[in-house]
Amino acid sequence: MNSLEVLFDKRGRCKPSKRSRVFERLSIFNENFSNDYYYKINVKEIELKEIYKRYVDNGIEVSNLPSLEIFQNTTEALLQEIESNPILDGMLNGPHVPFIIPSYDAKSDIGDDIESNILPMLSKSFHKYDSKAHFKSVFQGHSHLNDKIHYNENSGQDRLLANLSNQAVVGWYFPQAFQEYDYASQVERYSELPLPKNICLSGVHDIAASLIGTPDMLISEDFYSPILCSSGLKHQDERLVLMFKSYGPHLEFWCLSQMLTPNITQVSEQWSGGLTIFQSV
Amino acid sequence: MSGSAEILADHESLTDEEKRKRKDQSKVRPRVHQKIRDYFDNMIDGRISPILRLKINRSLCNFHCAHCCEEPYMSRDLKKKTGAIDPREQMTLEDYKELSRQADEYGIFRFVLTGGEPLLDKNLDKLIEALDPKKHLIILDTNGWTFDEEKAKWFESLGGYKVQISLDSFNEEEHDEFRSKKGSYQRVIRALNAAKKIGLELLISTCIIRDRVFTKEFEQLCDFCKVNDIPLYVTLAKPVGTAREQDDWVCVKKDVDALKYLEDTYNVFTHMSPSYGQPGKCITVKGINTINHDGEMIPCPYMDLSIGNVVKDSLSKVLERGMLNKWLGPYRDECIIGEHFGFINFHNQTVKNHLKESPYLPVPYEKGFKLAGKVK
Repeated sequence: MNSLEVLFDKRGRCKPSKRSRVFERLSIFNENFSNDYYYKINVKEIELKEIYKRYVDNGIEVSNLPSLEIFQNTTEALLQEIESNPILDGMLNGPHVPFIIPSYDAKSDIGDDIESNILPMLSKSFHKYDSKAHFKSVFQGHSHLNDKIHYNENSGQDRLLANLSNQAVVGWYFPQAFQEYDYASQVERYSELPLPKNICLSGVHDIAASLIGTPDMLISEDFYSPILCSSGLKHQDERLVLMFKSYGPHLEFWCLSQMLTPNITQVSEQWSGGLTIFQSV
Repeated sequence: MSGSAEILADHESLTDEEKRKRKDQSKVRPRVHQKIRDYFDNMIDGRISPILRLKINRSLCNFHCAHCCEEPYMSRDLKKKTGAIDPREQMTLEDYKELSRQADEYGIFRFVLTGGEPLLDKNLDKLIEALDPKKHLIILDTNGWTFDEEKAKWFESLGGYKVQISLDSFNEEEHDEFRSKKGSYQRVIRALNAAKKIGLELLISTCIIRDRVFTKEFEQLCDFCKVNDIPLYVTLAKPVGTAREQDDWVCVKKDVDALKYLEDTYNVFTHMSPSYGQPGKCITVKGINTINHDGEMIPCPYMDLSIGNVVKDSLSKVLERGMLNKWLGPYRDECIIGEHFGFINFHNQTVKNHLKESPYLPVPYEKGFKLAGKVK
């Protein structure tokens, strides 16, 4: 690949390779087809102070969070890192939200950590945002996640989660970087990209942290939102994938089958993998 | 970090009602119970077990409802337009028997009998027998006009499982006006009581147009259903059939979201509510399919485009074709015929073009859904 090739389009979506399997829309169904997605992320003006406050209000020990100043400076520096890179700056055409993963006593088993720490933290936060709405987690496949979730090779998630017991992580989540890609193509396309080591394929921890900072990211009265695939992580049963979705005003986490039929996997206009740029602080 | 999240494995995500029904079927209909279990075991492979909704008796009906999507299929409408009834070959009892066999083999366990008003079919008993009520749950749609206690007993004795009674307003006058039939509200109440007394499974089906979900009347209907322990199934008015030009009836996301709030308080659900361990999503092909009198299969009760004919092709072939259709198989949250104006325009334009050439619906697969292309 020519390293100067522009990788992201006007919507901030990574351009698929010839091998990528993506949902191909048909103009006959979209007479007024525009470059806009049907499924949209609800991102308004980013207020870093407000976002920071949501982590504090969620009961996270201040000692486990970076200061507001560090949060502001780090997010700014990360944006500049992308802006100054001509092959990456197109990422900024797409929606992006800042997040903090606080330092915490992370469990060594990723599935156990998701169930014991991450989902409860998100649930608490979402109820604060809308006490009438529910946060629900459903696992298909007759079992819990312990011992079943691993990093996707070369997804960079291992680097993101490496040192959470000692350091918090600040970053930006780009939820529509792989909009309309099937799950396997998100992983494959990421591995082909000449990205710096602090950009990974998004996973459960960074997406959940983003949903704590920006709880209405998937909630809108006006439009439907994408389903956020955590393709940086994989289930040992390859038919199952991890994802976040809204259900009207509600928020849900699913361990869901990606099989469209017994032989073919989903390739959906609504499913979207993301990219995460991060910095330990 | 602290806090707690409700974490449900898929078998635990069944509602209490769904669990009770599964348990009951193990005694009454072991084959149905087996198929439900198989569906759960194979769901993550991408196996489906959709409801098959059978439009019977040329959709004959005794009502003239304002929002009816079935009118263009009815003999009375076709006679007005062409001077004759639908000349296409209609499904015979033998065809239904074969459909039941193929459905059983596929793992399907639910048939809904609909019309029009299916109770007007004089051969309904023979049809239920042909469908094999030991192997399938037989569910009856009715406007309730003739469904009294005697009829409820009769349906139960044939092996009938559930009745779905339509009620379009909790306000008597409004319902009767919408249904263009004075007294129809009272007949619905009588039908509900009859079904309860005989011990049939039961639900109320109601159609909402934009903003109805925010009315006092709708709240009262929800309360009534809660107090009387009757599930309330809500359908969204679609701009098809007699309502084709009624774009202002189409619900917007705000209406649909309000229903999703209500699902946590009342036993209210739509075709897109999470159920049987699946998330809430558009259920074309994978959740429900309608079979027209001539065997054409339509992937949603409110569409007029076919995905194939189950008399001419095998059921499994038609279902696979539907699942691989770009707009029908892949995951989508919204109801495409009820909310997605891009799809609604395509659908209605395709129907309009077809009706210039032929008065008979649905539009054959080759002239409609085939154009959408296949998932690759």
